[in-house]
Amino acid sequence: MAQILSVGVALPARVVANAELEARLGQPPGWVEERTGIRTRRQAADGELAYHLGAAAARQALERGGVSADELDAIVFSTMFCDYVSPGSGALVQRELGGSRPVPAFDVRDQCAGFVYALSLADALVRASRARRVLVVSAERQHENFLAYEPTVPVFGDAGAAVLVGPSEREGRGILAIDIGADGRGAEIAIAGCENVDVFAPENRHHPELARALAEAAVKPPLGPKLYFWSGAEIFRAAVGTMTKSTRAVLARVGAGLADVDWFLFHQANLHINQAVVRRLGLDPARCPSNIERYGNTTSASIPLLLAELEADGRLQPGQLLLLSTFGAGYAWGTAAVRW
Amino acid sequence: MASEVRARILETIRENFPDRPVDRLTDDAPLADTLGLNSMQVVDLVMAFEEGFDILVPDGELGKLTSLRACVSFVEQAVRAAGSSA
Repeated sequence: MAQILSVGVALPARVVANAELEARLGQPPGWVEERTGIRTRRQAADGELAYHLGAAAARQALERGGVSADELDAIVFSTMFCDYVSPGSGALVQRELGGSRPVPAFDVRDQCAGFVYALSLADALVRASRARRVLVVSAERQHENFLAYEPTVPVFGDAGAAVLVGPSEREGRGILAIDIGADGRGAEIAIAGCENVDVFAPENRHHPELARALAEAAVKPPLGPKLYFWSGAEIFRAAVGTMTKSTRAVLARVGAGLADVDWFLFHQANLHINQAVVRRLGLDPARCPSNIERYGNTTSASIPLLLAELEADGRLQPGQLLLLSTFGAGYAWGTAAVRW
Repeated sequence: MASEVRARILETIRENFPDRPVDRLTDDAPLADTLGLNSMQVVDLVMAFEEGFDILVPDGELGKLTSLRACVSFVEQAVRAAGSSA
């Protein structure tokens, strides 16, 4: 079995409060928090890229795990917006860490589900004895990509987080089960364009609801890489339904009930989504920690960032059962049960 | 059936949003404004209708459920359609 051995985080210094964004958008005070539950988010400085945040978080995870960069066997990097189209940021993190061995380093592109996807790969590498020390690095510098469509402007924050994965050091402790999945029928419901393709042109549209959603949102194509569009109602329904189902499925697989879980770490995308999941599963909100109010949606960094907070303030205790669950663009989702 | 559906819809609202003024809701009052629900919470409520009545509300219909009367009418039709296809 594989286990998360340590966690690291790196946050940009700049804190952006709602007031700044509400003024820019011409919205009244309270507009952002009422819709999202977010009060502040971090924004990376000029030149501070996702791989920089990722490398800083990785160094912290290595230090806390008592492992040197030379002992690493693989690096899996997850992000939504790549720093460069080529190369992937995994190689850049490898360079930043300065390990002396040329280990595999690669990127996973699964948006808000990226961390659990990357964790599942690290888990598989360790279980198959292909690696003993794998770094999962999840980092986002993304705030510029959400400036063109008003509902997305205040939601996203920048952050880096990393976990070190290795063979389980104690019987029964570690990553017990993972469910990852995708449903491409929702691919255009949360989407950004690219330089070469107008993904919103009629010939490129495949989702029957996209035209209606675009019209309702008064968004005018063509939409480029700086316009991230989503249809909030569709995302909400898919997220709540999938996270609820996936949580039940993973717990059934490990023979546990909802009451056996000490901490539910849900992706921090929108406070209302998580409240709906909590209510449907009948969970005690006190077992579902939240930090979206301070960091916004940090996409693939969201769950390890929350994990690091729980560890830092002593809430995480050895032997506790954790349930991590996320859902995002793709649609892609991931849920993991972890015995800490 | 209308009064039964109406009562169950009101009960669903109370269960899901216990702190909202459900008693102020008349048949034609704007649902979201009267209850103080944002767009996400309206979707949340519609999902609760789907679960409670075992029906599916297509994405395109979401924007039409703006009042209690509209909700009752939609749910009645959906339940009837589900019954006739069963």
